[in-house]
Amino acid sequence: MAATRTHAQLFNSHGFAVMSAAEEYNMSYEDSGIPSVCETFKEVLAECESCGMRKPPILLKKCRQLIKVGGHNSMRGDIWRVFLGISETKTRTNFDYKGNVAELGERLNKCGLTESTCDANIRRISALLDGQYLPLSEEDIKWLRNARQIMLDIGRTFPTHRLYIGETKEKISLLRVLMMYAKFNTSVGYCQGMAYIAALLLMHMTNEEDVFWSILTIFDSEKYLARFYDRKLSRMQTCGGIFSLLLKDRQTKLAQHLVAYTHCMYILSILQKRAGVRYL
Amino acid sequence: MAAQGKKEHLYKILVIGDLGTGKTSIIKRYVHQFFSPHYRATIGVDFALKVLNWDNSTTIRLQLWDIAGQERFGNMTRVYYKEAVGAFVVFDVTRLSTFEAVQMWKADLDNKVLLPNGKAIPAVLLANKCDLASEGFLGNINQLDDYCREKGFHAWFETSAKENIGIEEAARSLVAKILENDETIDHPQPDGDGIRVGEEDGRAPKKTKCC
Repeated sequence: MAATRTHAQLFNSHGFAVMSAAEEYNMSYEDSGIPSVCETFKEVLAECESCGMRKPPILLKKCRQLIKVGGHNSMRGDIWRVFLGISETKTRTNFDYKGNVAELGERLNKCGLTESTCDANIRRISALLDGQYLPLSEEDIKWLRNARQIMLDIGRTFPTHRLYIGETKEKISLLRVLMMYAKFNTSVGYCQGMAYIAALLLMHMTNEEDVFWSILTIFDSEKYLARFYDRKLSRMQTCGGIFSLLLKDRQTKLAQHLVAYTHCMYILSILQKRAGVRYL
Repeated sequence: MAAQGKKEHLYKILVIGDLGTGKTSIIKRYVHQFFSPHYRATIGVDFALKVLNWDNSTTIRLQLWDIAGQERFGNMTRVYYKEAVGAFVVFDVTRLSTFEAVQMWKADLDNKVLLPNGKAIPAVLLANKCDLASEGFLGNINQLDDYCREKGFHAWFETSAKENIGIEEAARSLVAKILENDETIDHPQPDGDGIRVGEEDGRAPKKTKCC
């Protein structure tokens, strides 16, 4: 069933709506964190942050130990922020996030749109694209198409998670960070699949701008997903090729079966869906 | 395997069309008999299997390939389309641009996949979200008959995944056409034997190194 806020809702410890009695039974309640562990972790992270990208081995070792201890769930966002090195990304790239977000609001406004991803907004973009209101430049059309695609996908990204049910501020943040990334890296733009990664980060990071710098780091650095989402999906295709060779080598029969029944495309969906998770 | 005298067919069917036209919802409705406005965006490709007891002597397994609508995934459609024997091309009756894209999808299909006899695979056009047709752009819907003849569609149906309209009929029409083709063409079928993971020729699984 569709999840709506009007139903009395139960959410599991990850924030997803519990849909069945069986699921409810299996619900586990994880602590958001053990205060003393979180305190220590905060200090270590602050030290790490001051070291920039060259973190001394001793600090890394401390972090590993703390992660093993557990009880640091509420720290996840901070850990990712520090280890992605978003402050480095920030200083390296000259992008005025707040200014550009303000500009986005104005531009939407001019078209009679809002930052909401509700149906009415999406329908209005469709009508605009069908030329029902204003004359549009080629650039406008590209921009509106992109906005529409992002809005459509936000409505279907983790639709049963408490942050993404109904009209929430997190959905607006999601729209902003994805629009900003598309603006920042015009050659890549928005690719389906990005919304999941940004949405996952938003579950753990309270600062929207931090999420923007995080996705920028993830999508553009060689260490993470650079060229994964470009217009030719070039790196995804390379990874897919490598994966199928490995599978053929290690699990010949399984590989043959998959090729016979589904050809190679299972790889694409596996890679796309797991890509972010692998690093987070 | 097949019971005595019983025929089994496995058919690969593509579901294509622009982003957000309702491809996934149509498949969900057809296969799982349910509709939810909250579904996930399809990334790459998703699969669903529908088993049809066509008649007393024929069982048909439809492997439905739900293909992402975003343009850049188009680079990969050649691989997706391989060995498909039928297709649904979906558009949204409330959005003209998705109808205009139908031609592009049909041309893409005809360019990239053919039946073993060299003919285009049968395609059925679905005018989806017909429950919202009052907002639609299709004035005289009968013009679609001419359109289909011209563009080489086998048939077209008005559908609504939300209200469960037209989907069963559209599928029956496509499957009937596929069966008709099948009787005239010799198909190489993939090896139907299942595979047992981790078991090779009855021996213990080989040890694999992990890096």
